[in-house]
Amino acid sequence: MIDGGKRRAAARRLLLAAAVFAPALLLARPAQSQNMAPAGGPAWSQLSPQQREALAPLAGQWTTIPSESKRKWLDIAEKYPQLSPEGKTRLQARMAEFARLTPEQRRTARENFQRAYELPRESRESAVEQYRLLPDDKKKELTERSQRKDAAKEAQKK
Amino acid sequence: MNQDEFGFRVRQALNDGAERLDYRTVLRLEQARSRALARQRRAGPATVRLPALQLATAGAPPVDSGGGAWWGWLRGAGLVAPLLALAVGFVAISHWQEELEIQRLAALDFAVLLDEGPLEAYADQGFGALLQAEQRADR
Repeated sequence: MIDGGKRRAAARRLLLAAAVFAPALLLARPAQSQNMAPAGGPAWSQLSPQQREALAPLAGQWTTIPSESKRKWLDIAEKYPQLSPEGKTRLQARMAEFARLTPEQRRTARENFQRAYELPRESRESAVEQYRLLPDDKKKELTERSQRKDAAKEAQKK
Repeated sequence: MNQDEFGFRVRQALNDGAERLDYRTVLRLEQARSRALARQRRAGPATVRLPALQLATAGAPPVDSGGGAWWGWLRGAGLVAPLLALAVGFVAISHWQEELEIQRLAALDFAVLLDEGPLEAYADQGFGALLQAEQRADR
């Protein structure tokens, strides 16, 4: 009886500690995932045939994709069947390239995409054309100048 | 001898016997009484406060079963169920926010992937500078 009581008390203490510390662990998880440690999420073999078809360009790198990104890709796979044949081809053609970008590059891509669509079509096309015509060394110079500017802005915020 | 007289005789006999008890017996009886009283004081608090809501696991009698002072205090103050509800709510909100963020990213990435603009340009901060220059020119 006494042992049972002690066990119950210990179990309750454990339950309470888990309840108190679980949120802290959950909050800590996104910080860990930013280190891009592979693992987690469903294995390629666990996906449905439709999901595998939609995400086919990612088959080779699936194991290295973090679990949060896998959930995002599965969300995209759900939208895939609604696309036209041309849409499907374009999505898949860019998929592997996009997945290979660093998290920082993906963040920049999203920001630039949104920024581009705030502009009128002509201005957007003009910016793309200017970028396309820039020699590689000029592109690099432009990138570095922009990075320095961003770093200075960040430093000012702090 | 009627019943009252019989009762009186028995009481007399018992009282006489008690007075003639050996001092060692009296001492042992006194010690046993003290121990029993001390145990009763430890085990039975004058008032027992119970929380309005109890866990399904809280089937034990309302005595401190060695769970520690802080656990007893939490339980006594009825804080266990609210704290657990708070923790569960916190976890649920965190999951919900994570899910919303994943859906937002999926919608955005879906649009980027279907766009005709070069991915290499989008991923470059330098292209961002060109877009900003276009923005300024439009104003």
